[in-house]
Amino acid sequence: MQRTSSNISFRLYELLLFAYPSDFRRVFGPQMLQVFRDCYRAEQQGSRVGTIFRLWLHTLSDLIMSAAKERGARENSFMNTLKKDLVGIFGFVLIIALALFLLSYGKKHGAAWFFVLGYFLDALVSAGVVANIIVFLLAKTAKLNSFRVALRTLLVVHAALLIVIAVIAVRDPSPFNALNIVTAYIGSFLFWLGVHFAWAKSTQNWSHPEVSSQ
Amino acid sequence: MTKEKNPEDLLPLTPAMFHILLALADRDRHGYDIMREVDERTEGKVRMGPGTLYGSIKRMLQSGLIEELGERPDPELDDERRRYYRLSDFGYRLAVAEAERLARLVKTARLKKLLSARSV
Repeated sequence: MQRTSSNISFRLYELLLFAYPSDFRRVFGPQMLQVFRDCYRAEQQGSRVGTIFRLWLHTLSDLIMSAAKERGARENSFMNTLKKDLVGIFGFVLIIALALFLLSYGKKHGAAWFFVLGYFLDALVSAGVVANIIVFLLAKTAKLNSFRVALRTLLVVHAALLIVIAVIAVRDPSPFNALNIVTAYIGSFLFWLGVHFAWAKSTQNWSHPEVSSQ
Repeated sequence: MTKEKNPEDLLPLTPAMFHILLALADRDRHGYDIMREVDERTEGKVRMGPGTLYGSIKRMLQSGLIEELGERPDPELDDERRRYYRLSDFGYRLAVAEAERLARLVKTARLKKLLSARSV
């Protein structure tokens, strides 16, 4: 009889664990159930009347408070990630928009300073758009380290675009200045790598787990 | 180069976390053992439920205050499903910093004659 009631209690607590977020339950659920079992058995050994009832009362109030806290923490972490992503996307779009503006302004006015800068801006926009979209998608879907992904993707995209330009240049070499193009692409690669490095550093401490009671 | 964390930045700790750090200060323990130690030490005044205990443990693991042990201290005598936790160096320094902060508060309370000679 006692065994049946304890089994029902354990099963009920196991079901109540669904109140916690799934990732928390997956890691700590079995341990929490084990702790509940230990507490239950310890209370069963005691001779005081109503100990099991008191254990359930205490466990339920703890469950309500802690499940709400864990769900709240999960919500905060989701909002932090969303905020971080939006700020990142806005920043990258702003850089590309600024480069595009300078590019069109330079071409329109044929400014002297534009000659060398034009190559760099061209590389910055074309490689930047392609590489950053790939980096964002890879970092989000595969949950990889975003700086490492950025390093590899930027390298591959810049190299691929340089090869495409080289193939075109072989057919019609007149509009191309090889040295300027290579320098521009190296500059673009270093620029975007620097941006990703700064971004990775600045977001490293974006969210701290709450340990302080402040 | 990683920047060394300063324990003072995390003070004051939540009561549950400080109790867990205290429980782990003398030896490695599993969840139920931590709960029982806190209960006995506080004479039943602080009773953590499984949710509060593991919610705190989760945050303490994330902050590097405690570490999960790969091996159980005494496999012969223990259930293999249990996971043991140990205080990290940073957790130890944080526990010391919190104890010193509380000691300063108690000293102030004494000076203000809020504590009798018998208490604490």
